Amino acid sequence: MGEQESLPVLLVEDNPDHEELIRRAFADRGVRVSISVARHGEEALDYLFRRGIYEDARRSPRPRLILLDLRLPRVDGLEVLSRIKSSAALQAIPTVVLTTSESEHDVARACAEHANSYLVKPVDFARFEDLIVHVDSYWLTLNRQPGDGGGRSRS
Amino acid sequence: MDVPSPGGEVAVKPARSLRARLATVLAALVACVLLANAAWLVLSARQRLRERLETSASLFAALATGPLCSAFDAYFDSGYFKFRQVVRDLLSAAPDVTRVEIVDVEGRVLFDSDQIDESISPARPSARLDPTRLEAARRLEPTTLQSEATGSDTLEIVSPWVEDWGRHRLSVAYHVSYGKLNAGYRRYARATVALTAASILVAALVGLGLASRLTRPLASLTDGAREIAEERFARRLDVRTGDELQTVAEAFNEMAERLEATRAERERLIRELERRNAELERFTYTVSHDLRSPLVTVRGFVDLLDKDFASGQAERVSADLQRIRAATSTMEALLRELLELSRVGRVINPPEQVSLDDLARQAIALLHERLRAAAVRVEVRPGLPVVHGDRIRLLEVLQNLIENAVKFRSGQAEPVIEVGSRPGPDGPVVYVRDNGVGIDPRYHERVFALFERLDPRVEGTGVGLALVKRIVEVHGGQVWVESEGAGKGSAFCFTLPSTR
Repeated sequence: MGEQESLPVLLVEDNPDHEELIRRAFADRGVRVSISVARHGEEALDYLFRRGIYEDARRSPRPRLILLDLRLPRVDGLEVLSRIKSSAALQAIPTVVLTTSESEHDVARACAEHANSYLVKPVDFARFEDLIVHVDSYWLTLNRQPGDGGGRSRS
Repeated sequence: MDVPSPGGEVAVKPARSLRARLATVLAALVACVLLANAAWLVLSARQRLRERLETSASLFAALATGPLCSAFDAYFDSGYFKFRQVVRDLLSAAPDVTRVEIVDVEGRVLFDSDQIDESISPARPSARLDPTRLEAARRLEPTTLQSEATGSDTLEIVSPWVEDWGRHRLSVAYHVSYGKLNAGYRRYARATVALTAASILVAALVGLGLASRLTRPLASLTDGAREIAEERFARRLDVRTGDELQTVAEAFNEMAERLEATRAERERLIRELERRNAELERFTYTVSHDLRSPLVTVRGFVDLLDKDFASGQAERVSADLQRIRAATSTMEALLRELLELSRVGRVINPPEQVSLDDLARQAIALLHERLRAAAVRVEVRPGLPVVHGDRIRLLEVLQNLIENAVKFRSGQAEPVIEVGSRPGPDGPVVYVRDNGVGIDPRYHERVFALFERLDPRVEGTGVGLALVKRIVEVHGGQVWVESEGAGKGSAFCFTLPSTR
């Protein structure tokens, strides 16, 4: 499709440093995405359900992918996940858990809440970048979801 | 006596029930006593009856001999029918005497009542006495002869007739029959045996009843013990026999009560342990997650620094270094506060009487710089209680709560923090109230969780309130937050059970 279009991604992440790491990883590997950030669970829900400051649909475009941290202030990541997956309008959006937690308990609970994928933030930044590339190529390139003509495709 | 056990299965009947044993023993005892008594009665009665018969026969002989012999002399030859009448009258007076013989000292039998002739003149018997009887007939004393020799169960009393002038010419032999006596004796024996048997039967029945009454409390004890075995401690026994069984039942009830209390205590401890365990699990998880987070930051930006240098983007270096520095500071703060938190549960300074009023002023003095910088006014209301506790930890509680109120003062033009107390159901409630951002009621529980930060923009590690909660709970108190919601300010309240 020629020039890559900027796909909307919702990043639910309370740590600004990690947000920066994720942004740089996307940028350094030349993946163009338009990232919206929610700092806590409540903000993520406001964004997705278009409430409060996100009432205007132009401020809250439907993301092609949600990157979700688990330990969030106010509303916990698992709660956000559960609300996404029980909403008919949102459940088709690929929701990838991206967290520092390696706990079996969290993995099990996230799977029970129908997370599309569970990824642990690598400490090594090169591996962090690899992970972001894989996320992009799988969820934003190869994966198809209903209601769109497909993601970006690489010839 | 199958006692259905509470569990539904039928209680195993003991091979030899106590009730049966008691009844048997009781009946056997009664039987022994009654049988011995009956045997003694029956045996002694025979002897006594014989003796009585012999005495009365002897008496009869002594009284009758004179008249008989006089009548014999006077009427035997001349008025036989008259003599006969005398004999009959006398014999009718003594029914046991069946036969009378009048003999002389020569051994001749002069008259024998068995051979009473119904004619007018008598016939003299021709019999003679055997030597034993002859000797008896010659004696001047009455003699008793057992006539076993003759085979019939009779007694013979030979009584001499000593005339007024001392001559002994005649003797009278009375034959006394045991027949009537034996018949009476047999009736007596039969009655005694029947009575004894009836008594034994009654004793057995009474014994059975008594044993039942004795063992009924035992059955209820058995039931109770079985229920206890099934861990159902609510069962109490109502045994009011006033004896040892009641004592046993009372001891049983006491045991059940203690078991119930022990179980309640055990369950409380288990719940406490489970709570602690869950808390510990959460703690470990939280710590590993939250310590990993700055590590990701540090390593990430260190790797990025390499790239920055390689690509010559020097302007990023300073910002990235700043992030690394901040992340290591966060890590350091986390570690320090975790250590602090772990100490609260273990190291407890000796408790003392602490005036919260003094403590509040001390906390304000310690926070003086920050309060001044944030232009916050702190008011300490009079009447703060004196509590019994760890002074240093309680100071930390007030310090953390005031610090927290300062952090969340928001853009309030005149931030005011109020420290005071009000009466509550479990003693005074101490509060630290602010007019800051307030907290949505949905998050009232979560604010005390470790590393929980409602607003990521406000600095802090999320340990402060967890520490407050830990300290208050170690003191046996409770802590909670009251706030009507965002913008309404909030009041952090706590109780301490030792509050006077």
